[in-house]
Amino acid sequence: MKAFLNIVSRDLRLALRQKSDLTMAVLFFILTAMLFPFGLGPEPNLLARIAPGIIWVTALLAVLLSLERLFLADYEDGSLEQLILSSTSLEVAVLAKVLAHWLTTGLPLILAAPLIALLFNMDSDAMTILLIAMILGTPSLSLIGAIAATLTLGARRGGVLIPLLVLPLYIPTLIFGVGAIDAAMNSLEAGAVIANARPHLLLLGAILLVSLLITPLAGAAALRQSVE
Amino acid sequence: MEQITNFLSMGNYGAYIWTAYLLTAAVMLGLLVTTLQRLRKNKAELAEFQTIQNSTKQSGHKEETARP
Amino acid sequence: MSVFHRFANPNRFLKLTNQVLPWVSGLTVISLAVGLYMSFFTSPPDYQQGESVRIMYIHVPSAWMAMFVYTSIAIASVCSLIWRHPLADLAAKASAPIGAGFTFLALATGSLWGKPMWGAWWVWDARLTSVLILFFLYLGHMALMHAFEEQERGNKAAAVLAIVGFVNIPIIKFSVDWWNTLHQPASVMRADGPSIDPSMLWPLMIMGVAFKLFYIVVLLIRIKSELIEAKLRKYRRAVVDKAH
Repeated sequence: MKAFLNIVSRDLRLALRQKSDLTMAVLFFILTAMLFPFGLGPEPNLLARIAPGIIWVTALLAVLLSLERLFLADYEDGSLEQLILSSTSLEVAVLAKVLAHWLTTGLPLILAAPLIALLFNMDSDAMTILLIAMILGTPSLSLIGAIAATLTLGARRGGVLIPLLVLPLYIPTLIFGVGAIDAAMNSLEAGAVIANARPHLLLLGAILLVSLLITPLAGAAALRQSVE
Repeated sequence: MEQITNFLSMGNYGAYIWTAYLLTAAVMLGLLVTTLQRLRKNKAELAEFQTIQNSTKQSGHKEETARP
Repeated sequence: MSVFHRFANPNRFLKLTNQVLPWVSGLTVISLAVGLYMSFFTSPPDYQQGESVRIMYIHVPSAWMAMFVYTSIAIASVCSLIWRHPLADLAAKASAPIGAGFTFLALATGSLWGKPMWGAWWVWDARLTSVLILFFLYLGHMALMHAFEEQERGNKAAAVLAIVGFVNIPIIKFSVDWWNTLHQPASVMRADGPSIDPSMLWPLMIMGVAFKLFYIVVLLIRIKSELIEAKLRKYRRAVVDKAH
């Protein structure tokens, strides 16, 4: 547990020192989302209808951009090798790295999402569900992405490989993330919002649990191979 | 003749059915042909290496016997 | 020594392959010929779909193969990671392009069947989407395998990916049961027995067997090729070493 917190705080300190990395994902998220009203026209009803999809797709791409540096610095400066030789369990270390990654990319995205939702005329019910869905969904994005980040360490064209490996695995999260908000927006009575979105949110939770289970195992296996 | 055109038209679904079958044949044949080509290429290269190795072995052998 | 390890010796494997290959090839040709004949001449047109149902005899076996080959890759990957079986990596590497080919065929023939039946080349339903994901998993697997300087690292990384991606296989299988979609539910692989008429079931099964045999033939040749390539790499390295 102590090793876990050590890794998290170390990564957070490193991220805070390099503020450009920290802000890049959020800036990318806001800027790309802002392109859509220009591309599709500023009709408020249309924008409100497509907002869930735009927010999720751009959030997904923002996370994707940040994945390459998740393990690369540690791999290049040799601290990964030290970690493997140390007594810390690699599974725990992977989870710690993922938590730090989520705190520096996923969490800022969640905080920025209401702003975009406002710009796209989303109503408050849908916005609540959007936030719940993102709280359940973005950790899965970090977890699944970590597998691809560990697998491509030391690969030629690693940066190009990550999207190919990760995007197919992101599709379920995208489907249910958007589905939850769509269900909320389509419910006519005020009380039915949560009930309608519930199955989608439960499935997002299931994806989170499965990736919480798989990522430490797969990530640790991949890290061990990367330094062999 | 009419029988043949009837068969080919497949109740007006001919275009879809024949495209599907031709595509399948193309992919499966493609897999088989590229696989066989690679095997032949590899076999040829291996044979080349082995003849080189045999000749160098023989010449090396001669050198050794010639030395004393 | 278990059966499992008996085939770990490449030379024994090559010998066995050379013995088996002519027989399997012959069986493939025969079953393909019989299957094709039956699917065009002895099977009736469907009472709803008419002649277009004949696409089923290549579409469904292709889809079976897409999942079967991926499952084989996943099993080979487990063998490679846990027992470090030397042939497992080769089998996974040799299988991937075949699986990708069949997945492409399942998607393409499904599209050609969907256009006259549903009026659209593609619909975004659960079954189609999950098979499309499978196709990208195959591509990712192949790309990862060739992305490293040392082949060994590529093999292991691809093995981890194959095992992680296996979660998609049950999703494909049950997607038509979990979501009510346009795609028809399973009619052959059912717990209560097939719901399809024998005159259509037989050609379908024979084509299914023919496709599996075809996979075995191409797989064995590819593994043979890989084994030769491993020898070639040794020779090439020896040449480079001598030059230095």
